Amino acid sequence: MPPIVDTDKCVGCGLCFHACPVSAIVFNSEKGVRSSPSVISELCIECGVCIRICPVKAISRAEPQYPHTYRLLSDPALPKVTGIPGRGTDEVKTNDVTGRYRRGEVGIVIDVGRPNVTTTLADVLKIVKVLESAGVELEKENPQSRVLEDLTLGRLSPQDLSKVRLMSMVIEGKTKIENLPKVIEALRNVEREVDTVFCVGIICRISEDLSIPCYEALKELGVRVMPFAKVNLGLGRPLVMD
Amino acid sequence: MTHTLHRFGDRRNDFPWLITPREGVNTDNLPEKLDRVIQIIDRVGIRMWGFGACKNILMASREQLVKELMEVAQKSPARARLRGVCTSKEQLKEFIRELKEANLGLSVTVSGLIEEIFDICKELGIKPHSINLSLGVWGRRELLPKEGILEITTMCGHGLVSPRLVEYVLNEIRHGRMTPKAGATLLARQCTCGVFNVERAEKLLGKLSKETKT
Repeated sequence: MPPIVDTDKCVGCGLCFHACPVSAIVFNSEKGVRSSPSVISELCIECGVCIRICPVKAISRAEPQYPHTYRLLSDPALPKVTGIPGRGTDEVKTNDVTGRYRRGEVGIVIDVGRPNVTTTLADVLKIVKVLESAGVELEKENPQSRVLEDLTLGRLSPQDLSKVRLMSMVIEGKTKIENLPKVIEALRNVEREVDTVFCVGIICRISEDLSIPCYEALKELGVRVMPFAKVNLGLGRPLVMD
Repeated sequence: MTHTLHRFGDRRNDFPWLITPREGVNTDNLPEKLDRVIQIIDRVGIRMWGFGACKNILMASREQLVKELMEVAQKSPARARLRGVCTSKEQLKEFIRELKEANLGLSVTVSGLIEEIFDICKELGIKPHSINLSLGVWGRRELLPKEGILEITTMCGHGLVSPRLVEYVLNEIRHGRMTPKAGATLLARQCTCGVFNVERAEKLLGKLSKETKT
C-alpha cells in the first residue's frame, strides 16, 4: 500500500508532487480545477519524503505488504526494516574500533540504485552473485543477506525480485587485496547487465606513511579513483591496530 | 551506508562528517559524550547537523533535537549517530582539533578531498585509520539527472532530494518567488541525516538559476 492522502486535509500545494524522488504522485484535474494528489502504487518506493514535506500532515504511511516491505529500506528514518539494524554495517565508519577490515583486506561497498535512479531486487541480486563468484565474502549483517535467506526459504520468489523497487540497497563484503582484479572484472561485466546505476566504494587501512595500499592496484587496473573519499580518523577507542 | 561519499561536483568547502558510537565498545556515558560534541558543534559554528538519519536541525528546534538525541542515546545507543557538514577546511580543522582534545573515544569519519583531509591530519598529529575510496558511478549512467542537478541531489546520499524538487526550486528562484537561500533550506529539510551542505546548495542554486533552462 502506498501512502494515504487525506483529501479533507490536503490544500493542494503540490509540494509532494515536486518532492517525490520517483514521480509517483499525480494530481488529477477536473474541469481545470486541481484535485488532491494520488500515489501510484507501482512507482512508490516508500521513502517517506511526501509524508515529511506535507505542510498540513495530510499524508500518512500505510504498511506495505511483503515483499514490498523491502521498499521501506528507501526511508533512512526507519530503523530495522529487515530485522537487521540500519541498511548495512558501520563499514568504515567504526573500523577503528571494530577491525572489520584489517591490513591486507579490502572492503567492497556497492550502492545500487543511487544516485537518483532506484533499483529492483533483481539487479541487486545480479551484483551480489557476481561478487560472490569473484571470491568476495559477503557481509551477513546487511539486508542483502535477508534477501538471499528469503529466496532460499521460498518466502521470496524469483519473480518477485523484479517487482520490488527501492531507492537503493548497499551490498557489502570483503576480500584480500590481491583479489581486487577479479572483483573489478566482475563489476565491469555486470555493469552491462543491470538496468540501473551503482556507486563503487573500496575500503582499506591507511598505512603509517599515509599511503593507501589499494590505490596503486586500482590505478594499474585502469580504474578511475576519485580525489575524494571517506576517511576514518582513528579517534575511536579502544583502537584496533592490525 | 555510503551516503556521504559519492557526491558530485567541486568538493572544496564540503566536508560531511559522521560520529558513530559502537554499542558495547564506547557507549559508556554516551549522553555526556554527545553533549560535549554538541558544544563543539556550536563553538565551531556548524550550521547543519542531525542524528540517527531521522532528524536534522532544520526539522526541529535545537532544544527538541538535543532532547530527542539524548533519549535515543539512552534507549538505543547505536542509533545515536551524529551527522553534519563543515563548510570550509578551516572549520573542519577546528572541529577535528576539538574532537581530538575532547578524547571521547567515538569514531569520527570525514568525507572530502583526500589531500585536504590528510593535510589536516598531519597538522593535528592524527594518524587516519581507514579509507573508503570512491570509484564513481557505474552502470547505466545515461539514466542519471544532469550534472548540475546531481551536484545538489547527491548532497543527500540517501536520495531524498528529488531532481524534480530542485527544478521546482530553480523555477521559483527564476521567477523571483524564492531566494537561493530559502530554496537551499527547503531542499536541506528533506535530508534527514543533516549532511546536506546548505551553503554550497545556495551557491549552486544561484548559479544554476541564471543558466538557461534546458
